[in-house]
Amino acid sequence: MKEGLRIAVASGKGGTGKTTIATNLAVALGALGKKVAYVDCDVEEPNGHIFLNPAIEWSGEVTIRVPRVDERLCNLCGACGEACRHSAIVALPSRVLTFPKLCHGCGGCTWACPQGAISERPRRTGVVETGHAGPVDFVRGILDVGEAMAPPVIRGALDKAPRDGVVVLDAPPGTSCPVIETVRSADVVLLVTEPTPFGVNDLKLAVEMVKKLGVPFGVVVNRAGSGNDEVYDDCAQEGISVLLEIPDSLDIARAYSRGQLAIEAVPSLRTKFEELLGVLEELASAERVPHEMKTEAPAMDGEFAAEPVANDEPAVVDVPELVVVSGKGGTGKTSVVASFLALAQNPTAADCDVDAADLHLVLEPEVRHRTPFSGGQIAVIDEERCRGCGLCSKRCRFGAVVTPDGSEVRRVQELSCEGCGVCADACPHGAIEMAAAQNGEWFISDTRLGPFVHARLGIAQENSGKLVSTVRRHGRAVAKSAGSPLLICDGSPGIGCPVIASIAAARMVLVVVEPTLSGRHDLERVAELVSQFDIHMGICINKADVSPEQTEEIARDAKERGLQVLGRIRYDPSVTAAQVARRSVVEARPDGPAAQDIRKLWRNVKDEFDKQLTGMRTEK
Amino acid sequence: MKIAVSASGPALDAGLDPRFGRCSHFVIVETEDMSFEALDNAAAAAGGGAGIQAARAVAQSGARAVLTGNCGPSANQTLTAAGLEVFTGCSGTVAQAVESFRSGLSAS
Repeated sequence: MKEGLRIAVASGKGGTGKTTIATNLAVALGALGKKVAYVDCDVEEPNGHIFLNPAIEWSGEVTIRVPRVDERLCNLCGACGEACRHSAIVALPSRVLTFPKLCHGCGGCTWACPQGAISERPRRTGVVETGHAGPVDFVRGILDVGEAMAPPVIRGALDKAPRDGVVVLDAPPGTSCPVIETVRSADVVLLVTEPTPFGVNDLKLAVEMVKKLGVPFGVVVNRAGSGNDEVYDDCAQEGISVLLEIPDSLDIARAYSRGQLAIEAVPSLRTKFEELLGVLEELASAERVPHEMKTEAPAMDGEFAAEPVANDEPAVVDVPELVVVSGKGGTGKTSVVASFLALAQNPTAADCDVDAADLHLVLEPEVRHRTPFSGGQIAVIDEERCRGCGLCSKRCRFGAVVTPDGSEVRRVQELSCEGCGVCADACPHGAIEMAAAQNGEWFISDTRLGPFVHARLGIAQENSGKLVSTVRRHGRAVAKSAGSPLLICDGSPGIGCPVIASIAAARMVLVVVEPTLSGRHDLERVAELVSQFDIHMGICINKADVSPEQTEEIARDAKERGLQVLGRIRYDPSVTAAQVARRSVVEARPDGPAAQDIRKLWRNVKDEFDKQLTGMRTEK
Repeated sequence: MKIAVSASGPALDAGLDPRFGRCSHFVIVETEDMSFEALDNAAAAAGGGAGIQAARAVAQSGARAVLTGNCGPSANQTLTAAGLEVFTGCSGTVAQAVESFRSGLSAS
């Protein structure tokens, strides 16, 4: 084996137990006397510290380089603005203006300026901390709230990870850029899932992603016994090994809510984690499957052949939007949205969780229109023209231009390419062109609960923020033409780019939170984000009775922030049963405790929402 | 004085498009005689920063003010930096918006 073993713990959706697996694995191995590090790469919602209680010994800022214009040298020629693909610098007739928050730090404007008027300054986007939790080395990255770009902070955390020993990487959820950044650096991947339809759907996406990256992997089934057997059948069929099962247990759930490790609550689990190491070493030593980094049009499910509609901007319409979000994934956001759709009068739905879209599993949409989505550009090198000078590699700050072994010509690692165009502008032989990347597809559908706009982001594709904006925009247009008084959006989890795109300019945001220490921590971060947008916000506590203490703490936190808890939903196994039956819980089990609580929640949400609408009208 | 109106078409009787960055056209109207030219908003389909690019184009058109429904913070910052005045909350057709702008001016 080479220097060390890097294990990434990932999942197609959040809330499946990634952090549980990663922290327990690290601690179990540490107790055996192994050299172990835990690296929290879930920089939008880092939660590992809650379970590990590390002593932080070092911390450093993560910065990206943004332009600074020397007005004495600038002659307003505008070359900087033309070079920038992200509108982060723009030349006006009288001056040059920069937008540091839009800057990806590619350096393109600096190269483009013929006057040498642009220099760079560092701008903070987050922080990396290191320390120790007992024998376990601890590293985490934290993205500053309101920042969209997680990958630089993840790279910062990965840089600080030890090079030897076992390194457990707690990856962000989903299959988009931040996840790729984490998973690509691993020797082996553990994909955590739940035995539910949402879990299976998201596992498929995650499997597609790791296959594309060519990293060996195995599956962990968390909350085993809570749903159905579909996940085992699927894994067997695909030849994927289930390496570990963690039973569905209230003891584990309670321990989690208090910030306690599962191996402390259920000591028999310890051996399971210890034994996992050998299996992972063996998997990692297997020869890597060589993989082609090609951007393919992502394969889409379904046999519909609907007419593609033009990717035009729909007429601008203003339909009141309620966006349901959660700081972390897996809090029950989608189940709440599905029930709201069943309770609301004539609503339109939009699924903005494009990385791990699940709402369609409950709505069973009949697709009327499908449209390919292009979220940006990607560099393409003409191998005939490339002379192998390497200027492109030198200028690319994202490590996206590589030289394959034994080759003179350069190649673009498509998963790393930011589409900044620096390489194309630099190439003295005109060998590089920027081409439109196809990142996914979006759909307009009919469902039993009303019209539905949803999307699928291609595996390992970027630009989910733009796709989210596309879905919302078309959601509003569809709502308008269907005469819906309300658009209900299932938002993205986290606090980064797609979430910002989900909530911007919404009328009201409902945050679904679980009564756990992690839930509280994430609520704090998402609340801070929403308050930056000045949007009315309410809170709903899901599975409130799993930890009455944490529920009270959340209610108190909320009060301090001047936020209202609009509902508490009791834990109810019929929520999973409804999911298996592909129905919302208010349809499937209208008399169950969860359905009762959600109806009450909906009435409160509706009241608040209507108040917001009236408020808006009087304002105008 | 020239003013730019975010519009859903290239004419005076086109509806005012309430969103600045993503409208299909800007109608640039000379308030003296209501002569106008229409500008395609190339930024409407941009991924990010549509408002900024639109604002830049409007600034280059020579307009001194903008009439629109809503204008995002980046677009607003760009327009202000370029010395344009921004009036949000406008509605109706392009001609109507310009009319009420003119009567507002004479009233003040």
